[in-house]
Amino acid sequence: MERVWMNKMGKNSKKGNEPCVIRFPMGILGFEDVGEYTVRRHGEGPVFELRAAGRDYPGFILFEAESIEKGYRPALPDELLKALEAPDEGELCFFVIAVVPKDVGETTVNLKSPLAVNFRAGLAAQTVLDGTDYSLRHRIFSKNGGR
Amino acid sequence: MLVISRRAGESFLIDGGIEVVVLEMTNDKVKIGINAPRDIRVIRRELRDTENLNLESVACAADVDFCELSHALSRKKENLR
Repeated sequence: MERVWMNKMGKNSKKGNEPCVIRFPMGILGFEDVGEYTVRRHGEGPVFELRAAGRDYPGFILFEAESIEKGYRPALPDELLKALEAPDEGELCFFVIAVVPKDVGETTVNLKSPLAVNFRAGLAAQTVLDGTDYSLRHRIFSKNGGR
Repeated sequence: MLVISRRAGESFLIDGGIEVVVLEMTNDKVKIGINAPRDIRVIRRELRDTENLNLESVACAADVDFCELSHALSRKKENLR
């Protein structure tokens, strides 16, 4: 995960935890009027913070998708790859938006609607995957104390 | 819920102005065409669900206890070993 993140960040950041500005030309669903965000890794784990550039709202908690679902690399439509200036999905990092309630054991992520980020181009988009069984509310900690 | 059976090529009307046509059926997929006035917003259900989840995520994000989250992730990692 570290390698992917560092490589994809390219020269924008030599350290994984430095904030990086990315543009969402189409916005994020529900926040279409906000086009520029900063993304920052939180600590050493798979958790990232995404906040509107220059202000705190809206802010999202993200997880690096591969850390939740091994091999997560969904196929994207050609027009989306073109919009992200990516020749293929291999150029992109995938993140999933988390809902982290007060009881963090109840945390879920939306695997159905990932954020695809091209760090080299500084471009990103949220896409809702079609024809997959990925869950909108995927629990990341098991209920029987296995977290 | 109202249930209507249709074959490929058949359609039904909603409120007289919206036509929903069954274009094609395969084993696990139905292709549907919708003729509706431009001011009628037609979206996949998952888009609205995602929008709601995004709003929920933002509402929770300000109060996230990162220490507790990190501990929970560490415990999960240990359990997987």
